Amino acid sequence: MKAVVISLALAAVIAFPALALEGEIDVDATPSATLVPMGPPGSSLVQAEATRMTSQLAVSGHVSPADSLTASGTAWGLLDTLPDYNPLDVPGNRLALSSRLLQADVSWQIIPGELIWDTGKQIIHPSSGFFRTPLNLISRGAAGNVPQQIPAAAPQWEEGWIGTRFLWIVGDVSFEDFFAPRLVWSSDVDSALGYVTSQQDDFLDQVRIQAHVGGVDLQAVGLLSTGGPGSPDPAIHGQAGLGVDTNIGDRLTVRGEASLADSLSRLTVTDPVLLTTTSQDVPWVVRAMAGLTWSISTKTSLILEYGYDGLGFAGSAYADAIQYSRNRMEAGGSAPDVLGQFGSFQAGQHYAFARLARNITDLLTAQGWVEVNLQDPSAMDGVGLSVTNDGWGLSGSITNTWGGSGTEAGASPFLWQLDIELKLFF
Amino acid sequence: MKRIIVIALPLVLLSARVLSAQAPAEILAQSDQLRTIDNMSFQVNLSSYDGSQVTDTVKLWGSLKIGQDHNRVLMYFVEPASDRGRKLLVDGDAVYLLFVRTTNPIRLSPLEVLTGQASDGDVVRTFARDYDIESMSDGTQDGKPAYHFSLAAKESVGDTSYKRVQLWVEKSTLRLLYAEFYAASGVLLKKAYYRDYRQAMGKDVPFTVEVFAGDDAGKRTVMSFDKVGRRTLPATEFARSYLSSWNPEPPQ
Repeated sequence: MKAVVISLALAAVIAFPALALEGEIDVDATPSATLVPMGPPGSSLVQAEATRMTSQLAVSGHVSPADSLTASGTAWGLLDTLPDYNPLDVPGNRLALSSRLLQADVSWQIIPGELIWDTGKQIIHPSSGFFRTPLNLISRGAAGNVPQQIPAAAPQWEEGWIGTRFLWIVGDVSFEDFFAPRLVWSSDVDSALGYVTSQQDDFLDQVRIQAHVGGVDLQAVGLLSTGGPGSPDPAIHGQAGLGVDTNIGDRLTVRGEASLADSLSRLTVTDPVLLTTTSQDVPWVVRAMAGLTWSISTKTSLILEYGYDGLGFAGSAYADAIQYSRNRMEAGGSAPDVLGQFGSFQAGQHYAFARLARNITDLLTAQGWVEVNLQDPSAMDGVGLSVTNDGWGLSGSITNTWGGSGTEAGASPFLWQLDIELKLFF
Repeated sequence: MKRIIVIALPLVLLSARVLSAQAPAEILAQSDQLRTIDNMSFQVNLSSYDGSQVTDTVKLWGSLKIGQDHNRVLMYFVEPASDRGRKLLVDGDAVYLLFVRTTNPIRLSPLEVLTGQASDGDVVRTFARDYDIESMSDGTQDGKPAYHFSLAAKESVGDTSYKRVQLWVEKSTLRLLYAEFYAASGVLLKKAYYRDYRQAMGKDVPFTVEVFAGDDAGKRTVMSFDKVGRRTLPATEFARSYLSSWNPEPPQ
């Protein structure tokens, strides 16, 4: 079935020779070290190494059959040697294939430059944040959960949402509405359709208003979602957010965002010793981000960001989550993962991020970054070097964690990761 | 296909002579106007050199919209393949970059560079609206009689990439010949030579701009327009919210 889906995708590409095509192949080798129990649960932890190899292919194309009409799409495939990315749980079938149509839509400029109607699969990303994105109210994360060299919130490859969008631009103000239907199907159907598109659990409607006022960009975003009849969560939920970004002088861009959700659920610890958890609804979740990018020179830039997430743990709940995760690791990792339920290094409420990048030459870039959990404090940092030429790029990075056993870094099995990536562009 | 409309050069020369008796501000405005095409569409190549070695090349398609308060430029990265599909909007002092397969353009500082020594604003730059004239004197450039302008960025203008500019404008044609760009500290950031003037869309356009690093004469970026035409796009297309919907086309 996989072969049929891939063949159909390739045939579609070949059938439209007028398509302007571009693509990218990424081959990634990621040796990493994690802590695992030496023997049965409760035994001491030892370092274990594993290497994940991923090969990704993405092909994008667009065609304009008429002046006001554009069709575009991006197909993506992944060959993965270690899909779970966890040496504790190496799957039997170590070579896994996954694929998605990340984006595919038709755009009609009803009034050119003023009123646009897009229908199809679209990526919806209103946030301007680098490592925290409070205004990305709907997000699916990285396709294939492929490791990234820096902890940017927006992954390199992400699957969009099937829906329809209207965009109306009046002067320096724009109004946008995106609606996505609920799309669910049986697991049998999903075994084939899952190679093309993911299911959508809720009806979504997101409104976005943007304005450019006196050099300042302002935006407001509102989202209503509901699972509707037959859904495990049929209730209507709302989220709203505000964002601003602007320049100060010729070297500084600053940005800030805040969002509010009426209710979000999380897995919380009930007993850190017995390793029991429960699902908890958190009312009125606030998320916020403030950051800046400073162009120190034409070759060097510094990003600083602070992120707050009200869905993260604080106080005794945070201490319980850390103790639970430490006990879970020593027990062999069979209990639910509370620490990593939102992603890597996101279990607390307060984080800071810094990234310094320098273009050593026109082709060679070096960067270093650090992400700090302000509640511990523990940290995750990395350094990297990348060479990008016309048709290829080669980059390497090392990521490390810092913190005692009572910190988020210390309670995570992750120790370090090397990442060597070759990119080919065509 | 390059579409260039040739206008008789004597008309340009005649108008320049009339201007010679006018105020410095009018001369500078006329110089801007003579070489700037509203609704210009273009294809430009940017090649960066370190000594004689080419270190980077970029090919862009672009469109220019002259506004009452500031210019707006849309640019699309055609080459290299590693950058293909990126879109850039320069909206006065605001610069937005949209990466491939993303939908929200990120805001950059005006100091961000396109490649080598050339910044986004260098591709199409005018001076009269954004700078106050501190002085105008007689000078020469490449042996040609020239007006030498000393400019300072207007307080009211946000684009402060270069706080001070020295310009040399050829007296007989009002062609911009040479410019030096300085930071607020007085440090020379870059020098630019404007060459290969050709008639396009009724304007006298420098088809080659050679930009040198202020602190290293061996580092330079050559911007060469190889297609210049006119395509009128709605003003609303020069907006951040439109960038992901913009469907770039090669210049006419």
